[in-house]
Amino acid sequence: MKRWFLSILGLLLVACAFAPGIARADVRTEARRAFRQGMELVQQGHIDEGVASLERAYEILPHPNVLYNIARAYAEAGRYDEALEYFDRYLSADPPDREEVEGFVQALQDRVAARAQATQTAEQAAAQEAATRTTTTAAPTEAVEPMATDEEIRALDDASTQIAALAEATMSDSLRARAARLHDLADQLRERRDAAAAATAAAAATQSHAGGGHGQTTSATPPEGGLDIGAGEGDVYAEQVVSSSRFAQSPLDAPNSTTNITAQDIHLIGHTNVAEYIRRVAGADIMATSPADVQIGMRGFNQRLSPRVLVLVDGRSVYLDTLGTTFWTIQPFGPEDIERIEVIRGPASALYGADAFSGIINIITKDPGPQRTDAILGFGSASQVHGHVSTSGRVDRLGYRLVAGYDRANRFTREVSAERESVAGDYEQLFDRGSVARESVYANGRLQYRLNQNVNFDLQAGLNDNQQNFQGTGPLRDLIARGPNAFTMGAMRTNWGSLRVFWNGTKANSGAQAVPRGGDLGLGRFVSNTVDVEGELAHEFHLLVDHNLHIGIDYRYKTINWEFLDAPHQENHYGVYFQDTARIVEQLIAVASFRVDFHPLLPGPVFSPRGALVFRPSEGQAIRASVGTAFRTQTFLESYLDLNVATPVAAVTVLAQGSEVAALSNPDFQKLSPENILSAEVGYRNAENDYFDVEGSIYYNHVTNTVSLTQIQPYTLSDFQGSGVGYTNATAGFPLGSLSFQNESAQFDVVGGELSTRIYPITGLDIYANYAYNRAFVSNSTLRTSEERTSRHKVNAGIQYRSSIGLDFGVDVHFASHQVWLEQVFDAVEGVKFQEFRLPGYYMINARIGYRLFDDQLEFGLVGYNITDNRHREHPFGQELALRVLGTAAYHF
Amino acid sequence: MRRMHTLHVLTLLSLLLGAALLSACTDPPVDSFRSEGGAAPDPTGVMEGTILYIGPKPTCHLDAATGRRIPVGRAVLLLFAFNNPPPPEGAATTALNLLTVPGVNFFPAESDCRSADSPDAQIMRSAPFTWPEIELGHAGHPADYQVRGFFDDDGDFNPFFSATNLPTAGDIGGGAVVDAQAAIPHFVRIAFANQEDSPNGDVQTGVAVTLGQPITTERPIFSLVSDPLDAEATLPTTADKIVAEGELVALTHSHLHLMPRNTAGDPTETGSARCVMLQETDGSCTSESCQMCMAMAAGGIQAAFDDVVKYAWYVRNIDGNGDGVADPHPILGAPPINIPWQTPAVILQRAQSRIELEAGIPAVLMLPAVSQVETLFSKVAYPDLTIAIPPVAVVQTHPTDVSCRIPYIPPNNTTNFYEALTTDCQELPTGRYAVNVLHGIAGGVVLGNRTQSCVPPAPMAANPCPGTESCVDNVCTLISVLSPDTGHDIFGGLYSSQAWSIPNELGFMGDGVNPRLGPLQQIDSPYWSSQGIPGMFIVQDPNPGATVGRSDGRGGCQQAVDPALIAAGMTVAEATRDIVYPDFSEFPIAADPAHGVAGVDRTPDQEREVCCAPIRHLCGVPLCAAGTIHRDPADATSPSFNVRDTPTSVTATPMADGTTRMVPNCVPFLMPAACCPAAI
Repeated sequence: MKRWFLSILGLLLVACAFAPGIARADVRTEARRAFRQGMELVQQGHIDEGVASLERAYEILPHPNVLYNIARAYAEAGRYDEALEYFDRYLSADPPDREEVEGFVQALQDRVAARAQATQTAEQAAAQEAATRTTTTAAPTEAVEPMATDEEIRALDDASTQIAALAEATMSDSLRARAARLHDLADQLRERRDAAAAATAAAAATQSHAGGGHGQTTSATPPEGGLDIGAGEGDVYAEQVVSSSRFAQSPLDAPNSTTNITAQDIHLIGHTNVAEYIRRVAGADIMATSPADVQIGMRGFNQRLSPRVLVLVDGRSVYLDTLGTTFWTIQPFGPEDIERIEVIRGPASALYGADAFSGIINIITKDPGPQRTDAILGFGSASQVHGHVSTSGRVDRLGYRLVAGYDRANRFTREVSAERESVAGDYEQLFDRGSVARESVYANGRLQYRLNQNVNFDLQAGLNDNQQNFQGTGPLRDLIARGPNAFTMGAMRTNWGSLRVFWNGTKANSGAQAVPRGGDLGLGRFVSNTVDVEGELAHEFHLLVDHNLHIGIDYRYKTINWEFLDAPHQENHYGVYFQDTARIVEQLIAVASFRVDFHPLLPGPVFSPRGALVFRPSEGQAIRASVGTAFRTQTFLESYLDLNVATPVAAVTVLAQGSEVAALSNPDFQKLSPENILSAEVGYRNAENDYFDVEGSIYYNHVTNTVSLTQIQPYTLSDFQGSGVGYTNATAGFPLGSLSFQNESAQFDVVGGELSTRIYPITGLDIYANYAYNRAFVSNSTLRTSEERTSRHKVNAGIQYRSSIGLDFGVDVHFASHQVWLEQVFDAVEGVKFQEFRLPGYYMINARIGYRLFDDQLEFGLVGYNITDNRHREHPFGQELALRVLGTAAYHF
Repeated sequence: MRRMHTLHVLTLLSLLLGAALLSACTDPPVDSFRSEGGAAPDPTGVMEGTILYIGPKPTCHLDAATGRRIPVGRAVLLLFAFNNPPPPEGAATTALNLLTVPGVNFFPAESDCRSADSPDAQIMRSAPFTWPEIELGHAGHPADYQVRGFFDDDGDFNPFFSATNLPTAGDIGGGAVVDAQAAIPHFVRIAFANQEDSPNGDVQTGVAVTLGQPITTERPIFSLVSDPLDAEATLPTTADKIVAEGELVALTHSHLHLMPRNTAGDPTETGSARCVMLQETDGSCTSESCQMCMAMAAGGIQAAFDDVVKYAWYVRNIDGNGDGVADPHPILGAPPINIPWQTPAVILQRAQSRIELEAGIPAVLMLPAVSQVETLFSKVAYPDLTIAIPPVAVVQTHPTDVSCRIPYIPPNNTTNFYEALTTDCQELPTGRYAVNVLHGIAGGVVLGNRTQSCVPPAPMAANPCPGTESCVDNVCTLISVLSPDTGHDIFGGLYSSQAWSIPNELGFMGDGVNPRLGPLQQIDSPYWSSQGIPGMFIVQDPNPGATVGRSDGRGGCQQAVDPALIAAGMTVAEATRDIVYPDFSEFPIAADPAHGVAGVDRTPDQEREVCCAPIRHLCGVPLCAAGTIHRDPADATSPSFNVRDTPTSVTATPMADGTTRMVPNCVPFLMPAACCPAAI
C-alpha cells in the first residue's frame, strides 16, 4: 500500500512538473501578480491587454474589486458599455461603496444616453447639413454633455461624506482618495451643470440675439477627465489579517507573528478535521489522540485538554470554559466553509482577555453572497464518511449562505476489544462506544444585510449533533460525549465600530469508553451556555501622528450544569480594553494595548498590557518587536469539580475537587490564581518578492502559576467525621483522599523561535517549510525537573501543485522530536501519583490527489492521512495514529 | 446544458456508489500498547455472585435524603491470594482487593431494620455483587483467590486506618466457603485465568459468600515492651518445651500491653465523653491511652477501653486442620522445642525505608509465640501477654509468593534447624521490627464434642441435631462458647480473621503514606509514642564488625551439632558435622503440597528462578556499614543499639535480561546464599 501510493505520487510529481501550468498553487500570489500586471498595462494605455490580465486574475481568484478596476479602465477609455457591464457585475456583490458606484453607473448611463443622443443629433445634423449644404454654409458644431440632476449631485456628496468616514475608520488610503475624488466629481458636475446652464442661457440669448436657425451638434469625444471614477483597491490580493489588532491589516503591520491558512490550502490538504490544518503552522503544537480529539497548543505547555489557545470562529469565541479547551468536531461547520484560518502566535490577552494565553486561532468562514452551490461526498477507510453541501447567494442587499454536513470516522484503535468480558457495555444505547470516534450532523446558516453604506447586519446560527471521543483530564481518560452544540450570533458593523452578541450552547452525555464491568460508568450530563456581548468603538484621527484607536468592552455570561461539579454555577466576566495603533513615521508603527478583566473568582482586576513596534524598512519587509502579558483563568472544572473517581480497587475512590470546593474543606488546598505569561518577541518578515516569503521570530516566555493536579491528600481519620467525607452508597466506596488543582510553584523560562518560508518556484508549484524550536527551563518546582511535553524540534514541509490538466496534489510532512509527559496515574501501591511518560519523536505525511473535470465543476479527490502508516502516539494515553484514506467527489452546481 | 448537468451528476453518483462500497464498515483494531501505562488497560477478572446474610436485623438510621430508615452498615468483602490469607494460615498483611455492598441492597425495607421491640430478631437476606478489576494470573503465577468478609453493622469500618480497618464487635463475619455449616471453614478457591490466555478477561460467576458469624471483640490497642534481640542469638536446645520456651522468653522479655483500663466514669457515655474516665484526677488528658481515646473518638471510633469483653487478649490454640489438637508453631513447633501455635498470632516485620522498598530489598518477618507459660492455665489473659521471640527471621524473596521464604538462622544452632528447609545460616537482619498481632478470638469458634452423623440443613431449615448441637461436617457438634474469665461467652468469627491490630503500620519508617500498605491501609497521624517508631522491636548486632554466616565464608556455619548424634551418646565435639544445606534443587516440592503455588508444582529450577529473580540484582552489593540507633529516635539520650545502615541511594542499572533495576549502594543484610551462590 505504501509503496504503491508513493510510486503513484512520484510519477505524478514528475509528470506535473513538466506540464504547462495555468495557475500557481498559491492562487492568491498568482492572482496578485496578474492583477498588478493588468493594472500596469492599463496605466500604460493598453486597455485590452490590461483587462485581459485583470480577467485572468479574476479567474484565478475571484474578487469583486478586480471587476471594479476593469470597469474603471473601460470607463476611462470611454468604453462605457463594457464599463457598465463590469460595474453591474461588481454591484452584484453588493459592495460597501454601492451608492458611489451606482452614481458612477448613472453618470455613465447618462453619458451613454448623451452619446446616443449626440450621435443621433449628429446624424440628424449631418443629414440636415447634407440637406442644407447646397444652400448654406455649415454652422460650427457644439458639444453637448448630459447634465447631472441636483439629486444625483447630492447623492454623490452624501456618498463622498460617508466614504470619507469609512476611510477614517478603516485607515484606508484608497477609500480616502476615493471619497476625495467623489467629492471632486460632485463639484465638477455641479460646476458643469452651472456652466451648462449659463451656456444654455447664453446660447439662448445668442440664438435669440442671432435670431436662431442653427442646429446643435454633440461631440463623440470621450469626456476624458470629466468622469473621475476613483481608483480601485491598490492591491486587491494583498494578504490581510484581522485577529492581531481587531481590524484588517497587512500581516506585515501586525504586532504578532501571524500565519494564514487559506481556503486553497484547506482544499488541497483535504482533511476533514479542521484542527489538522493547524499542524502545518510553525510553533503550533498538535496533539491528536483520536480522530475527533486534536488539541492545539502554541509554543509549549500543551496538555490533554489544551486551555491556552483561544479559538474564534468569525470572532466568536468557541472556547469551552467548563473544560478549558476547544473541541473541533462539535463545531457546526466543515472545512469547506472556511475562507481562511488566522493563527496568531504569542499572548493576546491585551485584546481578547482571558485564555488568549499563547495564541489565537481565528477561523474566518466564507461570506454569504456569491451565487454558488457546492456538494462534496466522500467515503474512506475506517468507516469515514464526509458529506457537505452549501449554497449561497444574494437577494438584493441580503446575502445568504446555508450549509449542511455529515461527518463520521472510526477510532484509530479501540482501547479494549468488543469481546472483552471484563468491561461493561451497559450504555451502548447512549454511545457507540466501540468504534466511532466522531460523528456529527450539522447545519448552519448566515444572513448578511447591508442597511446602508455604513451599517451592516450579520446573523448566524448553527447546530451540530455529534458524538466525539476524547481524552479527559487526570484519571479520566478515553471519554465519549454525545449531544448537540449550537450557537447564534448577531452582529452590527458600522463605520464607527461594532456590536456583537452571541450564544454558545453545549449539551452532552458523557462517559468513559471502557468501564470495568461492575465499575462506575462515569456518566455525566453536561449543559453549558455562554452569552457574550461585545462592543467596540473604532476611530481614526490625527494627533501629532495618525492614530487608529479601538476601545471595547466585553461581557461574558456563562452557566454550567454538570453532575461532575458540586452544583450548577454561573459566572459573569467583564473586560475593558483599548488599543492604539500609531504610525509614528511612514516606516514605523507603534501599537499599545491594554486590557482590564474582571473575573468573579479572582480577588482583583487582571491587567494585560502589550506594546509593539513594527518597522517597515520597505514595503515588503517588517521587523517586529513586542512585549506583552496574558493570563488564563480557572475553568469551571478546575473551580467546582466534585467527583469521586474510581480506582482499580472497587471500594476505593479518590475525590477530585475543584479549587473552590477543595479550599472550603481542606486548608492545604489553595484557590487558584490565573496562569500568567510574560512574553517578548522579535520577528522579521520579508514578503518583498513574489516568489518567496520568509519569516522568522524568536521569543522568550516567562510562565508562572501553571495549573496542574495536586498529589493526592489522604484523608485523616478525623476528616471522616462531620466534614461530609465518608462512605457513600452511591459509589459503594470509601474516598481515599482528595486531589485538586494547584498553581505550580514552578517558573518556566521558555526560549524558542520559528523560521518559515514559502516558495513559488514555478507556475503551479508552491513549497513551504518551517522549523520551530522550543525549550523550557524549570525552576522552583517540586513536581518536575524538566518540561518537555512540547517537542523541542518541529519541522513541517510540504508542496502543493495545481496543473493545467486538472490534476492537483498536496503533500505535507511533519516531524516532531520526542516528548516527556508527566501524567497522573493510579498506582496499586502509592495510590494516585505522577509518572513520566516518554514519547519518541515521530513523523507524519499527509497527502491529497485531486482531479478536476468539466471546467472544474466536478472534482475527485483522494486524501491520505499518515500515508506511510507510521504508527505513533501524540500523547501517552492517545490512540496510535494510523493510515486513513478518504475518497471524495465534489460537484459545483 | 441540462444534459451536461445530468451526465455529471450520474457520473458523480456512480463513482460515489463505488467509493461507498469500497469503504465497508470496519472495526478499529484493538490497541495492544500497555507499556508505561499506555492506552490499553490490562484485561482483568470479574467476580459475580451473591452475598447471603444470616444474622440479627441491621442497625439503621434515618437517611436525610430519603427520609427513610436505612441500614448504617454495608457488607465488606476482602480478596486474598488463596495461598496467602491472613495469619495464621498465611501472612497477608492487607487484602488484595476490596469490595463493599451497601446495606440497603440487602435490606431495602424499613421493616428489616432492628427495632427496640425485638433487638435480637434474626433475618436472612441476600444481595448480588459484581467485583471488577481483579488481577488475572501470569505465567507461573495463577490468580487463585479466596474471599473473606463481614457485614459492618455499625459502619465503622474504614480501610485506610489501622484503627478502623477491622471488623468489630457486632459485625457479622463470613466468606466464600465450601460448606457454610462446617466448623472449620474451608474457603472456596476462585481461580482466574492467566492474562496471557485470556486477553478478554475472565468472569467467574456464581460465587456464594455467606456472612453469619457474629464478631464479639474490638480491635485491641496495645504497646510492645521488650528488650532488643541479638542478631546472633541461638535457639534453645532444651528438650523440655516449657524450659525451652522460658529460654526464648528470656531472650527478649517481650510483652504485649493492652491500653490500661480506668473503670471510672460513665460507661454509657460515648465519644470523647467516654474518655473522661481515662483522664487524670485533675482532668488533664496526659496519658497515652487518654490521648489515644480522644483521638479515636475524634475519628468516630468508640474506644471503650474499659469494656472487659471487647478489649481483652483471648488466647486459644490454632487448630487449622480441625483435629482438635493445637497446630505447631511454624518455627518453634518442630522438635526439640515443640511449641504450639496460638492466637493472638504475632508477626514482626522489619521496617524498611522508601529507598529499600524502591531497591527491592526483601521483607523480613519474625514469628513470636504466645507464651504457653502464661496461658497454660487461663483461657484469657489480660492486660499483658508475654510472647517469645525466636531468633529466626524469614526473608521473603518474592513479594507475594509464600513459597519464597528463606529462614535465616544465626550460627551455633543445631543441624536439624539448618537442614529442615531451604535455609540460610546468617545473622538476623538488624533493624526495627514492627509488631503485628492477629487477634484470633474474633475469628474463632470453639469445637465441642461430636455426637452423631447428620446432613447439614438448608438455610433456614430445621436443625437436624438435638439441643444446641449443630450439624458440622456431617456430624452433630456442640458449638460451645468460649467461657473466659471475663464471665462473658464469646463467639468468634474465624472467617473474618480479625487481624492487623498493629499500632505500627507494618514497619514503614518514612513519613506519609506507607507504600507497602497500598491504598487500603494508610497511616493516620499523629503517631503515639508507643505506636510509632519508638514502639518497634529492635534486632541489634552487638558485634557489627564480624559478619557471621555462610555468605562470608566463615567456618561458623559450615558445621553444627547434630542432636541425633548427641542423643546417640556422642560428645558435642563428636556430634559436630558438616551441615547439608537444602537448596531449591533439593526441596521436596512434590512431598509438600503446601509449597509452591497451588495447583502448579514447579520444578526446582523454576522455583529458584521465581524466588530469586526479584533479588538477584542485590547479589554482590556490599553490606551496609554498621550504625547506631536510639530507642527513641527523637531522644539522643535513650538507649542506643547497633544496627546496619539502610541504603542511601539507588541507581537505575541495566540488567543482563534487558530490564532495568534499582540497585542500592549497599544492602542492610546479606542476601540468601541460595539466590546468590557466588557469595557462598
